[in-house]
Amino acid sequence: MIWKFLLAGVIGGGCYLDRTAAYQMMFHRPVVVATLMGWIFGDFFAGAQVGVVLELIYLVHLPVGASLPPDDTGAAIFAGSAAAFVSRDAGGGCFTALILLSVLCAELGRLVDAVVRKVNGRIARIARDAVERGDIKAVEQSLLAGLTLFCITGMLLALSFSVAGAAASLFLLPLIGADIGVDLSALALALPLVGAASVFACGRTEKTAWLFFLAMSAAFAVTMAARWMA
Amino acid sequence: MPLVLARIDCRLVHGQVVEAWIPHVKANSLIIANDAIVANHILRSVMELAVPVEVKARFCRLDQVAEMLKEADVADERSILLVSNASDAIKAWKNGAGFNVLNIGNLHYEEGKSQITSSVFFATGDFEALQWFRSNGVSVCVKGTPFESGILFEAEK
Amino acid sequence: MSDISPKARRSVWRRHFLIQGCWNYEGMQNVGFAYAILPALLEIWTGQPEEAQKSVKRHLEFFNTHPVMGAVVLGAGVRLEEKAAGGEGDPAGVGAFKMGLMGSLGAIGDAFFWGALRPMASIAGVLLALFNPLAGIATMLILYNVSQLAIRRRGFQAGFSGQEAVVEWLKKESLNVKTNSRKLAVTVLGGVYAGIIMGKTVAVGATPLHIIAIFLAGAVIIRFVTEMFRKSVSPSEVLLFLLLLGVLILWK
Repeated sequence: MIWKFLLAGVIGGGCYLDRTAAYQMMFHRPVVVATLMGWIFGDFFAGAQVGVVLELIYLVHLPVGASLPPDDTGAAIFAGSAAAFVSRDAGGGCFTALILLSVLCAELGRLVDAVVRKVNGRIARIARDAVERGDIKAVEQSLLAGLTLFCITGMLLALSFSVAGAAASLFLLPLIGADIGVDLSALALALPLVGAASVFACGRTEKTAWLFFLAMSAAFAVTMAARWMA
Repeated sequence: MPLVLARIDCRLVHGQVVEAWIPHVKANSLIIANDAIVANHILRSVMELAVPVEVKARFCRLDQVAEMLKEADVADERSILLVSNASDAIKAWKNGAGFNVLNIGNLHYEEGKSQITSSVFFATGDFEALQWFRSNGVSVCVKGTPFESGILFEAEK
Repeated sequence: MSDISPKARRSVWRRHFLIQGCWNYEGMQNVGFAYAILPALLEIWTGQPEEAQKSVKRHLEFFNTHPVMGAVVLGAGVRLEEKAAGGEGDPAGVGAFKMGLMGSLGAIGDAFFWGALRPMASIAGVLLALFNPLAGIATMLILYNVSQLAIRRRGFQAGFSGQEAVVEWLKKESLNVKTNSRKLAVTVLGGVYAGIIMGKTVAVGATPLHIIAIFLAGAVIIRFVTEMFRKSVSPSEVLLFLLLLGVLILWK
């Protein structure tokens, strides 16, 4: 078991690197990360299920200047790992509870991200002083130091969030009770709707609202018809 | 009401203006008053491409602000006026940009400046300009996006 | 065209993916930019250690733009440094050029990549993932990366051909027009997603009244939450509110 958590740490750390420091090729997106975590802990499909919900919720891009966005990679590591530990016969409310809990990781991860960037400021100052003294290769070492810092904190976050996810599933959910699915059914629908709103907010909302609701009505009708005929 | 927002922003056109202010004040015209940008066609062309397609961008020197505003007014547009620093804002005001609220969005950090918010730093000249505006009946509001609470310096009249 | 050796050029290209590797609040992408351009600077200023030092210092000044757009600025930066070394331009102009360009390119990149292309890739991927997770993830990665890698590549090349070429390239790429069409796709696909998840929750055989009620409730919630996002409420705050609600529900 332990090696699985270590693997989650290493792979999660890689996803964290992709998030800011290197490449930005979307390997840090919740749907990818949560599915990977689900796969590591033995339930690929459960990971993907929470991943798609988180993916859309955090999609909206807020024009807030220098403030950092919530750590959706961390939220996906938590929820994806946790989902794999939920037993198959538990209600769908468990996933809802896990996604809601994952917001704590998103905010914690954001705080850690801010600290990393502050430490990078120190590294940048050291680089500037070194260049001032004539050591221009110091730029390379500084970048390497920044990357290493991003990577190590990413791995530590991934390790802790996956452990926290497993713990939440194994200990917290049973504690809350078995009828969690029934109680949280209203919220279970609310989460994908928040995701849809997040997608909608990415468009030119005022001008294309009719298009959104038209597509929504059509898909709604088709989905119902398909289910009722089956 | 042709001029819906007057803003000082050292970065002129960027995400906060395009994604937050334009939809918030429902503007469809952007007047960028900056002598350096008008003189440099490279920077100007690139900045033009940063403005959304449905918004009309006008670039002008500071002494042409009044004409530009009139042009936008005739076309019945709602304009945002952008300048890059406080002394340019004063010039624009003196040249006929009749705003009574001035928004300050971003002013870069430099050695010796005092911090007002996380993205706005004032030099001595900026404090003087602020006072100048207040005594001329213009309120000054420091905020990056419309959704921040910001800091308001009321006009003195 | 630039006379820089293919080796240095490849090296700058490989390094440009790490432009945010030491992102910090004071200089933002400054260390990353200096790191990426270093192989070219060492070649341009061979045998002039003092000039090389000055140029590295120049590139350690504050710099921030959209990471994909970093490629075109790096290309143009190399070209300008070359010109400066050949006595054709003022070295200080390199910094002014970067400063003047980064804001606009940042706005273009943010609007296109974060505001349009990423949402489009995501929602397309998620829709497919509802049926087959692997196909969904693959679609998302391909949709986003094919486009962003091509733009990095073309921008990098345009930058090497000089400032005029940068403007030409940007006009040809017309990202502001593409932003709008991608956003339209996002809107339609988002509507489809909302319709599917709501259609799934309606019980088979429900009364028309029930169906209409669910549909309207969904539409109102989406509209309301969208309005909050437009007012810069963060997704975390919405989730925290729902978490609180969940705790209250389970409490009683």
